[in-house]
Amino acid sequence: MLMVAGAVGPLSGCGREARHQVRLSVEELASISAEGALVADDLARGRTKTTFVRVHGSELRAQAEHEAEKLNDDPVAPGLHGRIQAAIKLASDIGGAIDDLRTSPQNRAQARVAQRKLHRWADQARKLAESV
Amino acid sequence: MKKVLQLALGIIAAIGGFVDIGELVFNAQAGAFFRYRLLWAVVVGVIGIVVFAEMTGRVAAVSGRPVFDTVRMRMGLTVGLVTLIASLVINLITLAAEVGGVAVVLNLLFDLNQSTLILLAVMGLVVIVYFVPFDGIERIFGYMGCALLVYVVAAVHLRPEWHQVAQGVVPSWHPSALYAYFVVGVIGAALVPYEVYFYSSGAIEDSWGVKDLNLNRANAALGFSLGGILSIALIMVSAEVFAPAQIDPGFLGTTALGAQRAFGETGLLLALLGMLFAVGGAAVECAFSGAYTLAQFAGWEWGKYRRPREAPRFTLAWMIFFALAFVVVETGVDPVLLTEYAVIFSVVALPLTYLPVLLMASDRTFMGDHVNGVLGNVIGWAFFVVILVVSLAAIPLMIITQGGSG
Amino acid sequence: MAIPTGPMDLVYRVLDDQLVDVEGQRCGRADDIEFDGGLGERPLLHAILSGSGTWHRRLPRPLRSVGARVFGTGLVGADVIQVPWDEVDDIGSVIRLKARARDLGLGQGDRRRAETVARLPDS
Repeated sequence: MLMVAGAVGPLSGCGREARHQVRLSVEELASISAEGALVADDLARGRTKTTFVRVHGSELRAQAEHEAEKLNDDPVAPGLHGRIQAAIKLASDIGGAIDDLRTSPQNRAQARVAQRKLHRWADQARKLAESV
Repeated sequence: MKKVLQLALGIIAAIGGFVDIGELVFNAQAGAFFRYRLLWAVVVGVIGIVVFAEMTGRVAAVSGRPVFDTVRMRMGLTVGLVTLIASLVINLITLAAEVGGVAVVLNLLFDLNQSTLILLAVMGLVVIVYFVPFDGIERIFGYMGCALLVYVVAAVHLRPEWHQVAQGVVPSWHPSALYAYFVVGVIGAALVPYEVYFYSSGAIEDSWGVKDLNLNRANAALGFSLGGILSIALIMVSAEVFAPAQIDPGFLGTTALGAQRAFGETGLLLALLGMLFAVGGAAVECAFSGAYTLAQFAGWEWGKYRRPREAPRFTLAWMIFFALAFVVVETGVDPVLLTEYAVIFSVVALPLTYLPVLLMASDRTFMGDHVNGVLGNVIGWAFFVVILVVSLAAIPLMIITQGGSG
Repeated sequence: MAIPTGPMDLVYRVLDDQLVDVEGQRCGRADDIEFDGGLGERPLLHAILSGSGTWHRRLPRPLRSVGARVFGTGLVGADVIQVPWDEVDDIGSVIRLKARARDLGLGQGDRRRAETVARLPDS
C-alpha cells in the first residue's frame, strides 16, 4: 500500500507541475499579445520609432515561438491536449501579427488591424490559461 | 554650480546602482505584478543605502579607508578573502549583464547586429574610462543618466491613483512567496555592494577629507534619493501601463515602452538615452569596483587619479574585467536573467560588507570626533538586522519562486 | 600621528593594514608580523611581512595546502617581503615607511606590470 501511495504521489505531483507549466506558458502568450497590441497601437498613431518596433518586435516574436516550443515539448497531461493545440495556434497567430508589424512598420492601417487582433488574442489566451 | 557638479559622485553611484539593467526590468515587473504595493520596500532600501553610503563616505573621508580596506582590517584575512571572491564573482556577473544591456539599448536605437554591438559597447566603455578623468566619468554617466527622469514625469502624467500610491509607501504585507521575493529583490537592489565600493573609493578619488563631510551627506542623501525616486517612478509607470493589460515586462524594451506610452517617440528616445548612460554607468561602476576590491585587498596602488602606469595592476584589472564580461555576454546568455541572479547573490554577500563599515564608523580610534553618534549607531544596527533577514531569505525565496517566475 | 609609545594592539593597529612608502605609493599590506627571540627570552618585534605567500598560514587548517598552491608558499624575497620594524615611520590611517618601496623590495608586482601598461597610449 505504501508503495502504491509512493508511486501515485509523484505522478499526481508531476501532473500538477505540468499543468502549472502549461498555464505559465499560456499566460506568457497573453502577456506577449497584450504588449504587441500596445506596440501596434503606438505604431498606428505614429508615436514610435521604426527600429524600436523591429528590434523589440523581434524579441516578442522569439518569446512567442519559445513558448510554443515549450508547449509542444511539455509532457501532455490527459485532457489538456486540445487546449495546448489551441495555445500553440495562438502563439503562431501572435508571432505572425507581430512579424507583420516588423516587416511593414509604415503601414498604419495594418498596425490598427493587428492591434485589435492582438488585443483579442490576449483575452483568448487569458481565458485559456484560466481553464488549464 | 560648482556645488551641483560635486553631487556627481552620488548621482552616478545611485543611478548606476538603482537603475541598472536588472532594476529597469525588476521594478517594471514589481509594478506590473503588485502595482503600488512594493513602494515601501523602495523607501526602506533608500533609507538603508543612504545610511550605508554616508557611513562609507565618512569613513573614507576621515580615515582614508575605502570599504575593502575596512573589510580586510576588521574581518581579517579568511572572511575578507571569502568576501573578496564573492564580490568579484558578483561584480563580473553584473558587469556582463550591464555590457549586454548597453548592447540591447544600442540595438533598440539602431537595429544592428547584436554581436557587433556588444563589441562596440565594450570598446566604447573602455575608451571612455581610459581617457576621461574620474570626475568626467561621474558627470557623463551621472548626468546623462538623468534622462531617465522622463519616468518621473510619465508617472505623474499617467494620472496614478494617488491615495493608492500613498498606501503603497506604508509598509504592508501580501501573503505570497512571490511578493516576499520581490520585497527582498527591491531592498537588495538598493543595497548592492558594488555601489558602496565605488562610492567610497570615489570619495578618495575625489580627495574628500573632513571638510567634505557635508558634501558626503548631500551626495548620499540626494544622490540615492534620486535613485529611489526613479525606482518608484518605474514601478508607478508599470503599474499604470502594464498591470491593467496583465503584461509581464521581461525585456528592457518593455520598460522603454512604458515611457513611449506616456510621451510617444520623445518619451521612448529619452528613456533609451537614459538607459544607455545609466546601464553604461553601472558597467563602469562594476568594472572599477572589481579593480578597487582586488587592489585594496592586496594593497596594490589604485585609483583613476593615478596615471595608468602608476597604478598598473589596477588598470589591467578593470580592463581584464571588461574583457571577461565581453566573453560571458558573447555566449548569448540573457543579460536580464544574469543581473537578477547577481542582485540576489549580492544580498547574501551584503552583511560581510556592511558589518566592517559599521564597526569602523563606530570606532573612535580611527574616526575621532566623526564617529557614529547614538542615533547613527541605532539606525546602523537596525539596518544590519534588516540586511541579515533579507540576506537569509534571498536564496530560499529564489528557489521557491523559480527566480520570480511564479 | 606618531607611533604610539604605550602598549599597542598589533592585531588591531598593524595587522592587515596598508603599507605606504616614503613617496606616498601604496606598496602592499601588513599580511603578517614576525618576532625574534627564543623560549624564555623577551620577544622582539622584528619585521612586518608583506605578500600573498603569508596568506596560507592564516587560513583555516583544511584550506592551507590549497592556499599555498594558489597564493604562494611564503618564500622570502619572492612572494613574501620582510619589512624591518625600524623602517616604520608612522602608524596612522596607514603604515608609513621611511624608505622607497623599490628599496625595500615592495611593490614588485606593480613595477613589473608598469612596463606593460607603459606601452598603452597616454599612460
